[in-house]
Amino acid sequence: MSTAPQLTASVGHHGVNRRPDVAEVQRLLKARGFNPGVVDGRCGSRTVAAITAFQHPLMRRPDGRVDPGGKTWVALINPGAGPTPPSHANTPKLTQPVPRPATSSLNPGLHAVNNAYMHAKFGAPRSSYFKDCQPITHERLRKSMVTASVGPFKVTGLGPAVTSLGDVMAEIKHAQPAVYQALGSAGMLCCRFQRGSTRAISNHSWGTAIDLTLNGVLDRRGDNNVQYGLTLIAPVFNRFGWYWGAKFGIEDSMHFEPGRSLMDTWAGTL
Amino acid sequence: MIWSATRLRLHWLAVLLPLACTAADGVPMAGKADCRFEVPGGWPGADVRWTGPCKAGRADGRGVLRQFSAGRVQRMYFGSLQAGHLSLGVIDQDDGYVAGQFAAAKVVAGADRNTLIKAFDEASAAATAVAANYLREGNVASAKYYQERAKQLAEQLD
Repeated sequence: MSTAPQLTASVGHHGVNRRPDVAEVQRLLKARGFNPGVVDGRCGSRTVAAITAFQHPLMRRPDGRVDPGGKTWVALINPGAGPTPPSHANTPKLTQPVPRPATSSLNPGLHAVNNAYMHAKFGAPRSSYFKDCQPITHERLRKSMVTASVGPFKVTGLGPAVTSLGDVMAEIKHAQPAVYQALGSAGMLCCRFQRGSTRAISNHSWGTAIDLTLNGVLDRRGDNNVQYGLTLIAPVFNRFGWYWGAKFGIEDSMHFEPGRSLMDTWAGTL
Repeated sequence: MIWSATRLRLHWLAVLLPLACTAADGVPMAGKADCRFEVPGGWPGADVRWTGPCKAGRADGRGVLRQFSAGRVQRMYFGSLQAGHLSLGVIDQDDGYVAGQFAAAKVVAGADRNTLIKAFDEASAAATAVAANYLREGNVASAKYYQERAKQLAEQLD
């Protein structure tokens, strides 16, 4: 006689994640045609992504977690209930929101820049700013701006940043071709105030930051979820010294910018 | 100018049985006879409702379109409509935002950053207008919801 599956505590994003519970959820996900990776009782990003994929038809805002007695658990243990996987259920849709990975795991060894650093290293792009994008007036910076294709789209930005972004995109094309095909830009250079501020200016003002779209869809800022496709390419950006905005105090997953070390290599060359 | 949400409460049958037909340009139109609007691309056959001003028989001005399914809101459009046609704004859907200028009910691809900023500003202003209308009607909960949405939309782009 088989025993009904048991769950003693939550599994998944911000869950308790006891190993027997994680293994049980992994087994059930596999039985339902989803792929949480190896059934090893460890809750990693693939397990969370599989839970999220399973939840997607069940709820408007999947949270990547299975709670004892909760809606996801009930659907998991009742074979006739809950979603059945589409043909590519093992891989969530590229734009599908998944819980932000633990911030301690993001941008290893990289440090974000701030306004003070950028002003000290590169100067002020303009003397006055507004809510909308304005042209750079700083002569040396203005002459360092280029417009070029970086592969999936064309950008205008600081020359070395555009070159580096092209290198990142070439690697993404090789490592994540499906994401590469879906990538678009919401802009790189834009001299203006930071949202809601009349003093601090956007890092886009130096033409070094980029916001990305996937299939034309912008990740929703500040909801602590990130589009699945962005999780696939963030490690590539990191390898080239780019910092992912998912780690910002207010999650901003569509945003990538060169980290401090990379900026340091350019500051003296302009 | 009359706000559609107010009129819909007076004519509740129109809420339950929204009309659907097609405009001359082939874009599906919906809504009550005196406040028609086009349905955003990708929302076919949907129960779509407009909360916002109407003029000369068309939805016109800042407001919100909501797509309902099984009694739940599935997607929303925050922004402006001109003579019933989507103009500048943002579609809020499960996987994020689609923003920009719209033509024939679809977003115009390849928008520059300034256009995207303006689209989010317009969407935020629309949410603010809807919130103010709910507040005037004494619906504090809905007003608060749209005020929060206005803030989120305004802060999306750096």
